[in-house]
Amino acid sequence: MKNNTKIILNTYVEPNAFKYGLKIASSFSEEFLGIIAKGGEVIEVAPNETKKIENNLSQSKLLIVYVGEGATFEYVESSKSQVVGKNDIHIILAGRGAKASITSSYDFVGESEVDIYHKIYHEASHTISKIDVRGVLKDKAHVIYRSDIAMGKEIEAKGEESASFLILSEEARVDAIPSLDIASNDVRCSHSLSIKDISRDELFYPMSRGLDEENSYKLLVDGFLEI
Amino acid sequence: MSIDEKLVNKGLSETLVRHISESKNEPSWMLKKRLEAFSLWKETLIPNWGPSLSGLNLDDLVYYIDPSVEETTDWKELPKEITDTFEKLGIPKAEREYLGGVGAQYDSGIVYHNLQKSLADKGVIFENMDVAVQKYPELVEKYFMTDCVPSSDHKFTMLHGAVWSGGTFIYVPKGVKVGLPLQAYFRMNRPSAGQFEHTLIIADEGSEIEYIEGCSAPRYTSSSLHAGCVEVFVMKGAKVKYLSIENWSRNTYNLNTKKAMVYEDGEMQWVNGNMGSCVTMLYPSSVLLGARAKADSLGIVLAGEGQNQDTGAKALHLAPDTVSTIRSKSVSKDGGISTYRGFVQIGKRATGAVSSVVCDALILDDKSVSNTYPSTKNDNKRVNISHEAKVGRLGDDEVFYLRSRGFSEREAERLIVGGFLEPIVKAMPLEYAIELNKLIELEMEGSVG
Repeated sequence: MKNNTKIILNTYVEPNAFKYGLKIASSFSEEFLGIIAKGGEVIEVAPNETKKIENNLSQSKLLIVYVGEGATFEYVESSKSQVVGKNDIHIILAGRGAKASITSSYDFVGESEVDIYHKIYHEASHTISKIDVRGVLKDKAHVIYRSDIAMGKEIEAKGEESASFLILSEEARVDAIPSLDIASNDVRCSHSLSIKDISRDELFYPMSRGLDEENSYKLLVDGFLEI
Repeated sequence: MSIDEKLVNKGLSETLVRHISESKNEPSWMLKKRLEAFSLWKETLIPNWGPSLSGLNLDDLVYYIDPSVEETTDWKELPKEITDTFEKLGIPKAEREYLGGVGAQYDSGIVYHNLQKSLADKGVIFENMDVAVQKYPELVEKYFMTDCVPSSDHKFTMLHGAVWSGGTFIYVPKGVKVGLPLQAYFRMNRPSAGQFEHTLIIADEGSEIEYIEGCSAPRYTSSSLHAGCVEVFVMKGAKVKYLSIENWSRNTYNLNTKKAMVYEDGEMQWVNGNMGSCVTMLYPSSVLLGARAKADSLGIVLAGEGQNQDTGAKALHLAPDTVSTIRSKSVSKDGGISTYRGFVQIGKRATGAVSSVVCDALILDDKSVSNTYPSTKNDNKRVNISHEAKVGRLGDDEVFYLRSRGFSEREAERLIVGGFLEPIVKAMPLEYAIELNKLIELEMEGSVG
């Protein structure tokens, strides 16, 4: 059985991978030839349209999104349970002025085992992207988080990527690789990553206002996840 | 050039490995080490990640040259192109006036070596690696390519383990603080030559040492390889600062391995400047083994035409309350590719570990590329890990401001790049800061505007 959510794009190309390939849009260079096996979903956002998808992360998923000229794509994802799966989102900002955002808040519990990959390709000028990911890990949750903003040559663009994880259990684990691939000088692009737990200092303030430890803790975690 | 041509056979074979060991009159354990590394090297493939190494023909390299040059302090023996650069950089002056000791490596052997007497009296050892094997066999056998960088690490440490030659050995006894920085210069002066110097620094409990390595090579048409290895042992409470500016010629593959083992309360500081070579793969690593151990890594990279600078830093937190700080700054221009590739791992026992990584990249034109690939692996709850990266261009506003003050566009851009790299230049001792600033200026000449 082939892994039904496998996608291979530019740097991850295997030599004979293309024979399963399906060219996802004729206007794109070979480099962006993707492999979409079963389970792949392609969404096109037509020029000047806004599309919003809300998703509950619950299963393996591959999403490929084309965003046309002046169009906006917003993706909101959340999870509040035990999840095992793989989640890939590839957003191609294909038209001038296209915008995309990914906003995720995860609350992983139990024996969650998740592999998340967010990639944004800036293929046209005046494109803007934003990725904001927040995750809380409890129990034995394990998350692999990868993200990448790629900007091609002669592109004027802006990209922002931020991922923060709160680790609330001794056995929770997180591995993260937030990458940038930039081949143009007219860009502003940044990314940030933080992994931490709730410190005694942070707990001190709500506790000094009369909350007990458990509620103070909850307050801080809820505050963290509120995007 | 006065180099004995008696052994310039290209390619690597067991006979050559035996010859190197024999001509250096090495003890049998070292020959055994070399042969083990060689047999591993034969079986291992070239790494398939990172920049392409396809231009590197391993069979066409000269792995060892017996230098017939006598001990010399004369910089004039170098080719004019390089002496000119040195003159501009003010190296001989800095060397004469400031530095505690200098070892210069001419092709594969060290030709000039000097250590201030006061240091020698305190028991500080600053030796050519080849000599150290003879003079301090117990120390070398214990630390040379064992725990820190075993030769089985990767393809190029295997190669290094088989054909290493020259380099520096430093031992600082317990509690001794070396006030002046020690320095060595490595150069390759032969086409298609490989350079495999080995640096081993052992800072015993409570000692302090600062070591500077400068590397450069004149340009030749066929490509050369530099696969050096730096091993540092920072014992309990010791402090080591390692600085290197690598300015190899533009046809050199610089595939270097640098690693430090840091014990309890130890402090390791890496400062690396990379501006030469065609492909650089360099990721100084710090293994934080003892509680409260600290590692600090500063790197600057200039990637110009035809250059692929793949650098970064690694920090492995294996003990409680360990701290790592990584700062990286890169400038890409004229089609150069600069990549930050880093790795931070927090182990189960590293409770209370703090790690901070900051990467800034400047892209000066539309042909150049900047990539950032920071990996983080965390297995602990009580940690504080942060990573930040920014990629951008020269601001029009900044250029405009400087131009309104009477600077030409080129001067303005040079000033901004200088300012961008300043935090790293500042971390260097004075004479090196001057060298680096001038190198940056030389690199920037005619590149922007």
